[in-house]
Amino acid sequence: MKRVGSRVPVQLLVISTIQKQWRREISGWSIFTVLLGLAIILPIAIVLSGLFQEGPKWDHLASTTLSSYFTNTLILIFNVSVISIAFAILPAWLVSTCDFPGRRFFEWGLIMPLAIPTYVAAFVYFQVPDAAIPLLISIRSQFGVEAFILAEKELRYGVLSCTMAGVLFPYLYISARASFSQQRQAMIEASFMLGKSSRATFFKVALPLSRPAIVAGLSLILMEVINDYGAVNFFGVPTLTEGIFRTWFGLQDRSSAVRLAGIVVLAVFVILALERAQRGRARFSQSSQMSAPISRRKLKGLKRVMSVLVCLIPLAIGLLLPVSQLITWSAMTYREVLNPDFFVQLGRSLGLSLGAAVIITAVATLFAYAAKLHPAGWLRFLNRFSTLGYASPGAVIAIGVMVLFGAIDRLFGSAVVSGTMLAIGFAYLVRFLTVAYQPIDAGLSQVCGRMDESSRVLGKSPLETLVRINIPLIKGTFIASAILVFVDILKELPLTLILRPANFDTLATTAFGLAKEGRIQECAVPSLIIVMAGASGLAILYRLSSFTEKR
Amino acid sequence: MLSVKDISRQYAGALRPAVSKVSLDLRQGEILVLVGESGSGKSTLLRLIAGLEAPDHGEVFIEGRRVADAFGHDWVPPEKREIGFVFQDGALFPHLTVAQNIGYGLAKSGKGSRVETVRSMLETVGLAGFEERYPHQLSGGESQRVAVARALAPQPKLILLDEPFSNLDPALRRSLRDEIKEILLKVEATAIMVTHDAEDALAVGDRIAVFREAKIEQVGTPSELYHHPKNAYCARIFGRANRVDFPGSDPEWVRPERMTLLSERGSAHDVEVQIVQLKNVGRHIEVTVECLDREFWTLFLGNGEELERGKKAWVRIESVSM
Repeated sequence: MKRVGSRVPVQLLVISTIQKQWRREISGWSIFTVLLGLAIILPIAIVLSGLFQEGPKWDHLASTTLSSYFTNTLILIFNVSVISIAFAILPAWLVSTCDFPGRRFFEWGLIMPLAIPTYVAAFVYFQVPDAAIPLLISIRSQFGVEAFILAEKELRYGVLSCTMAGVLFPYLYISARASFSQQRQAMIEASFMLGKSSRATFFKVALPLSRPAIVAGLSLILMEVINDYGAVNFFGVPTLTEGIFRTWFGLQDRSSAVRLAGIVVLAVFVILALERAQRGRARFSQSSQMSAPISRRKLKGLKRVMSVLVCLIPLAIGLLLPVSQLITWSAMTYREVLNPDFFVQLGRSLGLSLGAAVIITAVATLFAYAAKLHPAGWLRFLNRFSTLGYASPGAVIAIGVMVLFGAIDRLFGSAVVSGTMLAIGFAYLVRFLTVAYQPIDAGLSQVCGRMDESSRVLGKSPLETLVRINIPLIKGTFIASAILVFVDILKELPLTLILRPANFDTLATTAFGLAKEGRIQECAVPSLIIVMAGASGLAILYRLSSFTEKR
Repeated sequence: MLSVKDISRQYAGALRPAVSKVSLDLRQGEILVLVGESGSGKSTLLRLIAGLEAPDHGEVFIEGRRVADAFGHDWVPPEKREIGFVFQDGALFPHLTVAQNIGYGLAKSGKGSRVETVRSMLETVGLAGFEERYPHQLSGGESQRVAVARALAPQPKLILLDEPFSNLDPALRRSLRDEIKEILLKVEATAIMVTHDAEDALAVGDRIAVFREAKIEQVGTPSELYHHPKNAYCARIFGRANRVDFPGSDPEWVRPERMTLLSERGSAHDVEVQIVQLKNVGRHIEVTVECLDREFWTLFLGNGEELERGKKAWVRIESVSM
């Protein structure tokens, strides 16, 4: 008998093992994953490489407005974080540990402000500084121009911070509530038994235990603040993202804009890395042991009333007031707004969102199935890497795609891809692939491997197995993912503003355009449609998460 | 038909290989049973043959064609190997009816022949009329029979069964086992079945391979393995066995039913023993004796009224002609 293995020297065996591993890893699926992963990373890599290029007006920028972009961003981040903590933590604690009237309503109601994009909230709350003009004028007449400028600025920054926190605090609320309700009854009781009051228990036990979750929620809020363009533009608070727009379109200095985008994306990745790091250490302190959930204490008297108020205030600011205002305005203007033109635009906007959502969901499914076929770590790593697209602000991705497609155009000698649906669709893919990928990946991993193996052994290719076995089995997740992407695209603003083809408007850009023209009441109808879409997306997310919890 | 040469597979992160340098051959129409404890590597061998795992070393041939080797040169993916596979839990597709499950592996032939094949497969496994049911409406035994029908429907060259009865209760298990053996004989299948149950192995296999710690200990017909186990491990898998050291040859393992207890020496080959223990277990009396080389043997006797602990006796060993 021929015995190959025994005569081959060890070094050769090692090489052959590596060779063999590679041969098995190469398939249409892994090649697809690598190409897609690279395509997604490319715009971000381009923006990051911009850090090392200096545009013609960089010195000008650095000596004038750059520092105010930084300080404005930092001020906003600080304000929104503080207000979000005030809005989110106590309601999360009350809802998960106490019993009071309306608790069940608040439990999910406090999530709903997320349905309102920051720019829509900004349309509504811009009335506040507007309404304060008489007051400001009286300040000027009493204390002079400088006091007026200071008061006006403080007012705008304050209202903007409140506005953003009002619709972003649910990120913090969701993660804090999840953490509070996972805490073990025994730990809370131990604190009571040791003679601590419920206030001391909250500060000394519950809050420190929830620190990782709270930091995670806050980091999401920070990233949304950095991502925002509409609200800060509307309130005239130029942040770094606004700075990208101004440098690209105002100063016409593309290199400097790319560099600014590079700084922004770097900042976001640093936040992301810090958040990961703090969560990584905390993981070990969490007990995985099953134990009784916290039993809710019934509140009495003044505490009862106070609890309702504590939950009602953020809900009113983040949801009830803006929505009722939008409804009022819509009632005033719908006759003029709902003209044939509007419906054409609506159809195009919905069509773009739907088409892109379907394609992105399909790509995400292939992407996730490739990882299922190749359990080796490197594909998963690549998949995770591509989630960076969702972390990057829309404006940054738009800049990256502009530069990339500009380079492709130069290859052809004319503008063939820039300013097309292809450009904006690709940018959506980069940004929103993760939105569909995460639930589909989770869904596919719940389809047990023997299903796939049965199908393969019965003579079906991986693709056929995916289409005939896996997708029917996760149909619900599949559709839900597509709707989530659809909603995200529908309300996306900065990326769409930069990349939309000429004379093409989505609901978001229409609303923003109307608001910028001062036709604020007319923007209510498109805004309301966006909010309703957002609410249905949240309802789906809520169902998806409670579905996975039950398993 | 099937030839496995020197095959090895070690899972990432595992300390020892799951299958280590195993070789085995299978003739057309033969049923081979792999028996061994869980974790001994027998399921991995099945998966290597089906192409659900790739070997680190060694080769697999089906009808003379190489389908797997350590370098992936001639790698044939599972969907191209024409092998039927029955999983432990059936692994029926929950969103498809019984008919759709069985028809799943059939080539895109005319619809008429497809329906006909499904119907005749259902008849073969004794589930005629079950076409429109869904897997969740089937009992455990029914699911497994559908799984067998699904695996057989495309007329594979080879059918692999991975512990097909282990999720069933003992009574059902025995009847299903006999049924499936009948079905395999009827369609003249070439099959490999994996089980941890020695009774299954003896009942189903034309040949049996005993698996232990990633290696095959012994291959042979049921009676070879039962009566001439190679070592203590192979002997004990199939029940009680007494070690007998015949002078001048390797030790042998002798089943209790081949030993009779005599109160007097009948021939020169009878072995003198002393009765150590008597245990009445109802069906028979279990007698433990100690022979002179300090080996303990167990015998089963119909009645043992005249037996007494400490008494001297003789054991006669019947030989088995193979």
